[in-house]
Parts: sequence; structure tokens; C-alpha cells
Amino acid sequence: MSVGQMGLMYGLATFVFLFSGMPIAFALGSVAVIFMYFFMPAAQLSIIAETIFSELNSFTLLTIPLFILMGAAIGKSRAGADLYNSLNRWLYKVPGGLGLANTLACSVFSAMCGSSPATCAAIGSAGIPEMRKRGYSERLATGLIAAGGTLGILIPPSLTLILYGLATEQSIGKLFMAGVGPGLLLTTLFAIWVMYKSWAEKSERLLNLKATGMAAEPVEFYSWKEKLEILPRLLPFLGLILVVMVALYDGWATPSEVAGIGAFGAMLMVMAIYGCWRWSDMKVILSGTARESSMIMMIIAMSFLYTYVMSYLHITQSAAAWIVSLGMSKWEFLLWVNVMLLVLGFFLPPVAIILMVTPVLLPALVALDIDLIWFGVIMTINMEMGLVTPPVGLNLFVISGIAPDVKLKQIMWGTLPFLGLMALGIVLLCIFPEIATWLPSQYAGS
Amino acid sequence: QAPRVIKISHQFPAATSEDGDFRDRLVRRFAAEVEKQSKGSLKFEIYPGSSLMKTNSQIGALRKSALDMSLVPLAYGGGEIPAVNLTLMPTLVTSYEQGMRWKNAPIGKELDRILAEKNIKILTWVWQAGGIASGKKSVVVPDDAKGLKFRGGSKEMDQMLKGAGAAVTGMPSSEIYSAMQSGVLDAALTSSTSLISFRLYEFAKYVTTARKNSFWFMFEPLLISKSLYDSLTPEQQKIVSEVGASLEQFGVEESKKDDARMADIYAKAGAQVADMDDKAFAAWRAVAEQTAFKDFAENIKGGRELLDMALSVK
Amino acid sequence: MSPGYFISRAVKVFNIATGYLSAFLIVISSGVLVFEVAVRYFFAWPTDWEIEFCVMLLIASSFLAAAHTQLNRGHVPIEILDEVMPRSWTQWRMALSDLASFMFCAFITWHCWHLFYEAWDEGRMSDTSWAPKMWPVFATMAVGMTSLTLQIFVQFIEDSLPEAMRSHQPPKEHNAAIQVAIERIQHDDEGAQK
Ligand code: NA
Ligand code: NA
Repeated sequence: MSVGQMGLMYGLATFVFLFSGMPIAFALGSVAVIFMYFFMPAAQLSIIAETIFSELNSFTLLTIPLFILMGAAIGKSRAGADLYNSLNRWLYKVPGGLGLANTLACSVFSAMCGSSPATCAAIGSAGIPEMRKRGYSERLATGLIAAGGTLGILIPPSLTLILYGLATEQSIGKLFMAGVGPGLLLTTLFAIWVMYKSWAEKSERLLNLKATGMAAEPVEFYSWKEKLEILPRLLPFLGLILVVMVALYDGWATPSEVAGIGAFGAMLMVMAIYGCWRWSDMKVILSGTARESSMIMMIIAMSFLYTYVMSYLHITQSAAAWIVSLGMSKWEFLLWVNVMLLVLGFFLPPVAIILMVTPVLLPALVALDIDLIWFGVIMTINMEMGLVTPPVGLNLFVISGIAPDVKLKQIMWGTLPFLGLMALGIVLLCIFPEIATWLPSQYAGS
Repeated sequence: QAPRVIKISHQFPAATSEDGDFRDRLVRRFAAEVEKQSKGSLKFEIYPGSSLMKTNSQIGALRKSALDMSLVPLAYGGGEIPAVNLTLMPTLVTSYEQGMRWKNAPIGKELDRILAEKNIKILTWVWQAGGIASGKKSVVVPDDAKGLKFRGGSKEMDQMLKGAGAAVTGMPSSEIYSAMQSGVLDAALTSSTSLISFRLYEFAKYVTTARKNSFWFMFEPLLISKSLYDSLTPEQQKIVSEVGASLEQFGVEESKKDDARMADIYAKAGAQVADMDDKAFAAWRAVAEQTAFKDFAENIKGGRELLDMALSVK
Repeated sequence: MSPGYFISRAVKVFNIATGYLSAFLIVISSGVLVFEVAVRYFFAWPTDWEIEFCVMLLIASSFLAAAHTQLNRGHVPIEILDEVMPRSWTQWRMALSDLASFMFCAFITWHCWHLFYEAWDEGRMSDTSWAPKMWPVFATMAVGMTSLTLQIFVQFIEDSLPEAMRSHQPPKEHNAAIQVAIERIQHDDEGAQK
């Protein structure tokens, strides 16, 4: 059987197992084990447990449970409601103010953490219930956080950009700087969309109310006094963000260690300030954290098994080598590489794609004289899309864990417009490469 | 007959040109030469940059015949085969020439025996020297390390650095860059080639090179799973062994080149470059004897004998 | 009390307990990290065990909570076919997918125990200067996978088998999504009253 046929079969088997209704983690693992059994030497089965362990044995990855704890502490105590109530008093006049606040929160959080699922977990736990309480549709609220979370690997620090830098021998410092402009661009695009969409949803709600003859929604109004008196409620959060920012940028802690500080700080905050120390309060936070983090970590663990088989069978590498072998012109090449990355993104997480694909693409990129820093950013945005596309989209699964009453299908529909915005971002970056390259070029002197 | 496909995994960046990472180039030369000499009966798939499996699983996978070949720091197998910690023992190897003489000395034969028991065979002996990048002060003698937040990266190096009074920290290698940039980490210890490819010169202010002496020599051989080797035809075995051995000279030359290149790159980036004289090396040896040597001799079965064998290589 | 019922209760109680335990492990690891960052920054103490210890805690936590998650069917599936296919098919499909999950998890469980046994037998250590033994973390993986496998089995018997094949127990409310949502709403209400 050729590698191409093998790849098609692997993809097909993935769809069958995932849509069978098996939990995603076990479905991915089953596909991997079955292919191992039929197409790989018997010795491979003997290192299955070892493979799962060694792939999970990564501190950067294990920040995810910590950020989930942080999110749960805020989202499942009064703290989250407090935060959003105060934000609402200030932003209620801005159309989609709360959505805007969540977009910015994702963006700020992305500057503290290098992982996308972690960003989702930390912001979404409090953000999604609050948005839905205020009438945002399921799709908009979950889609926004799933997409906003992807900024985690674009806005520095970013785990994937570090790996890309090591693989392509590019300055990680410059890659980080190159991620800033596009990160802000995507944040802006997301913000505009969420403001428009929530305004549209609100108008529709009002129309429906009128049609049914019911009274309109109560008009919200907050005086300056009310706005000011709620400000102290924001202080604990500002304190937490400040501590994390100082720890990160003043050389106390690495981006991964910051996860521990954030989680510990959030627990302290809800216990000390919000009086959340009784077992009945703690229970909700603890069991939520355990469930969500185990769910996502099991998916990650099994997706490594899945990735390993794909790499062993040389499927990903052969696809990349095939595209390179076609000898296309620069823009044709870029187009098809992006299509390939998008397809791989359906099935694989970003780190796996970088590790398998960059070594194969690199010679062609150099030969076609493509700016590797700029390409790194394009590739990152493309992989962000992969995080929210089915069948394997880590951010989708995180959201599904923290908003268990929303159907995965609704979350997927919700992210669709944001996928379009990310594609638009790639196009804009192709037309105006300066969005990425300007900042690092300012630093080129040293 | 269809060619036999052999998979080689390593953790280093793929080399796209002649100044790329020499460890990847060594593997590619090996593959090309064996393919040629075996008239295509052996073919290779190379997985650079840990794109097949995690760095630390490679030795375990070789043991279980789940991986065919790997170019890997042998000391990474220290958790499973404690004796191999000897191959990243501070100050034990004093020069490339001395390290290469291990191969035919009793210590080399003993190492071959220990590895053979674990289903592993050495094809190419590669040693690599390393240096120290620092953001705070130049580290030449042990006293310089006192109070510095240091990443040693291996058990024995950490023990010696701790003995010198450094605050060693166990962060993963993927975090070195951001940790040193933000000042979480003051100094890091690794091979000259990795000091280049990790790009620490983007902000490091001081570097200690391996041009004169280095307490950091790491054994980083090209390994093959013994069961795979045994399954080859005698002719193929001969080709594989001979090509492997023929690349050793290349390894030494490229390592030395990288020692010099590392110094140049850091100097060009504005770092202050220092070399380690014999007196400084002796001071590190004294610390190592009290810490890493002692621990190895006391806590590892046959450790004393292994150390003596290694020290007897002149 | 029938032995079947007793076993199913015992599995559930154990899984609830390990669920809370694993959340505690996450809390502890956050504390350890704060300790690490603080002593390194303020006192320049060596910090050569903290990160590795946290990694072990977090791996243990991920596996030990797997059964607790399964208890509420919290391991997310893709349910698109549910809406397309007739209800009677869905039940068969669910039974089949539970059976497949059970087989897969049993397979992984076996390999985890094997890994644990090898590490125990060999005295395998980590290759860092802290050099802890590896068997405890492998043991947590094995225990976690075992209880997950048992939990799936219990659920397969209790609520996935088509009604005709099931024993006489009435179908339980097992839709996790609904349960969790109720839990959260109740909690929000309690919170709002404070
Ligand atoms: Na980030
Ligand atoms: Na995807």
C-alpha cells in the first residue's frame, strides 16, 4: 500500500471512529492502536504506555490543568460574576461590550501563557456563563472563546513559535515580535465581529419580544456613582494580573511556572476575598477542575499516540515532501502549503505539525526566498485554525468541557465565522507582510 | 527484493545547508553512504527534531527494538541504565582525542558490553564539548558559579554545579530561551552546537568556550538496535559498521569547528568570551570529585571500577 | 443487595474519591510552583526537584480523575450522528461505542501495569539530579486506567445495553451535560444569594 493510500485510510478511520459517538480520546487511541497492530512491527505495541507517558511528561503541556484550576476558581465562585458585573456597568452602552471584554481578556491572557487550550480554559470558565446570562447565543459565546483562545500561540510568549524557531534556526526573539502585530490584528477582527454579532442578536431579540407583545427588556442604566462604587471589586483581579505580569516580565518565573502562580493566586483570592473556603464551595471548584483537566489531558495523551502512528507511517512527511516536489512558483507553493497545513490541522495539534512538517518544507522555503519569520507567523495562524476545526480541535474540546451543556456541534458552528476571520488575517498578512515584519525589522540592528 | 527501511530518530534541528547542525549532517551522510554501498538494499527514513518520538524515549525504544537507530546523548538513558551516566561526567573526559581513545580501551569494551545487554550497539563514537552562556557574569572557575541560577541539564553536571554553590534549576530545555531572556535563569550549560542553535547569543553577555578546556564532554553516539543489527546479512553488517566508524573523524572535526564557531558567534553578538585554563579546569575537577564522582562511585553498581577505567585512559 | 449493585456502588465511590484527590494534586502542584519561584528568586536556592515533582503530580491527577470524569460521561464525544439516526439505532451505537471504549481502555490498562512492573523490577529512576524512582507515577497511570475501565464497564451494563438486554434497574439520569448544568445553575443561585 502506498503512503498516500495509507494516509487516506487513516483519515477515513478517524472519521468513522470519531463519529461513532465514542469519546474523542478513546476514538483517537483506538485508531492508533489498530493501525499499529496491522501496519507496524509488533515491538511498537510494547511501548504504548511508555509513549503516552513520555509525551505527557512535558511541563509546558501540564500547565493546562493549572490554568483550568485558575479558571474554575474564578468561574465557579462569586469572583467571576463580580468581575463581569463590574465590567458590565462600565461597558453596557458599548454594543457587545461584554464580548469585547472577553476578546481583550483572551488577548491579555495570551500574553501570559504560551498555550491555546490553556487560554481558553482560563478565560472561558467565567466568560462563557456570564455572556450567556446576558443573552449572548451559545454559538457566539463559545465560538468567541474557542477562537480567542487560539491567540495564545500567536501573541508571545508562544510555545509553538519557540519550536518553530528551533526547527528553522530563526531568532525566537524576532518571531515573538512578529507575532505581536498579527495578534493585535486578529484581536481587532474578532472584536469587530463580536460587537456586530451581539448587536444583531440583540436587535433580533427585541424584535421577537415586540412580535409576541411582551414588554421590551428592562433598560439598563448605571449612574457614575454605581460605576465608581463597583471599581474596588475589580481590584483582586487587577492584583492577580499584576502579580502574574510582574513574575513573567521581571524574571521571577517562566511562562509555564506562571501557571502555578496564577492558579495558586486565584485559589487564594477566592478563599480570602470571596470567603470560598467551605467544603461545599470547594467541592464545585475541585470536581470541575478534575473533570475538565482529565478530559482534555486524556485527549492530548491519546492524540499523541495518534500523532506517533502518523509520523511512524511517514504520512505527514510524505505529504509535505510531495508538495515540495511539485516545484511550484512562490505564491502557488504558499497557497498549497497553507491548504496542506489546514488539512493536517483537522487531525493534528500544532506542535506535531511543526515537528513533522518544517524540516521537510524548510529547503523549499529557503530556495523560494520566503521570509522565514513571516512564514512562521502565517503557519501559526493556520495552526490556530486547526485548533478549532473538527474532528480534532483541542480548543473545541476544552470549551465542551467547561460548557458541558452546549453541544459540540453548536461550538463548531460558533467558531465558523472566526475561522473566516483567521483566513482573512492570513490573506492580509500576504498582502501586507509588514504587519508581521515591521516590529522585528526595527530591532534588526542588534 | 524490496529494500529494508531503517528509521533514524534524533532531537537536533534538520540541517538545510553545509553549516547546519552537524549531528543531523552526520546521520544523513551515514544514510547516504550505506544506501550507496548496500546498493539500495538498505534505505533510511530520518526523523530530525524529535519528530518521531520524544528525546528521552529514544534509548528505551532502542532497547525494545521499537526504534531502529538514533543519534542521542547516551546519558539520557541514565534512568534505565545507570552506568551510562559516566558518559556525561564533568571533567572526566579532558579532550576529544582522549575521549576517542575510550573506544579501544577497557572502558570502551565495558560500555559495549553493558549496552549489548540492553540490545544497543554503538556504530559511531561522537564526543561533543560544551560551554556556559551567562547573562550575569563570566563563569570560569567554580567560585564564579556561586549564587547563580543555573541550568546544568543532567544529573552529574547538576551535582557538580550544586557543589560549586550554584542554584541549579530543573527547567526543561524548551524553556531555556525565555528563562534566560527574562532573567529567571542566569546561566546555562550545554554543547557548543546547542549554544548556537538555542540562539542564547541573542541576549547572553558572557560565554565560556570549549576551545581550550571544557569540563563538559558529552558522549553522543550513533546507536543501532542490536536485534536489528543481528538481523542484517553479514555483508550489510560490515557496511553499516564500517560507514559508522568512518564518520568518527568527521564528528571530531565538526565538533571542534563548532567550539570555535560558537566563540565567534557570541563575540560578534557582543558577548564577552572566556576560555578555561588548566588551573580553572583543575578546580572544577576537585569539585567534581567531591560531588558527581563520589555519588557515581557510591550509588551505582560497579561505579568505582567504571570510573577508574575511564580515568586510566590517557 | 445484589453483588452487581454492590460492585457498581464501590466503583463509583472509589471514582468520586479519586476525582477529588486528583484535584488536590493540582492544587498542591500550584503551591509547589509558587514555592519554587519564590525561593529561587529571593534566596537563590537550588530548585532541582520542584518541576519534576509537579509534572508527576499532574500526570497522576490526569489519570486518577479519568474515571471520575467518565462517571458523568464527561469524556467528550462528537454526537452529530445522534440527530441523524433513529433513536433505536442510537442506543445500539452507544452500546457498541461503550464496548469499544471498554476494550481500548482495558488494552491501555494492561500496558500501563506492564510499564509499572518493568520500572519496579528494574528500579528505573529519572535521569535528573533529584532522580526519583519512576514506578509511583506509572502506578497512578495504571490505577487510573483500571478504574476508568471498570467505570466504563459498569456504565455499559447499567445504561448502554438496549433495554431488552438490561437487567431490571430503571434507566438512570446519566446525561452528564444536563446534570452538570443543573449543578452549576444551583451553585450560581446559591452564590447570588450570598
Ligand atoms: Na502567548
Ligand atoms: Na483540528
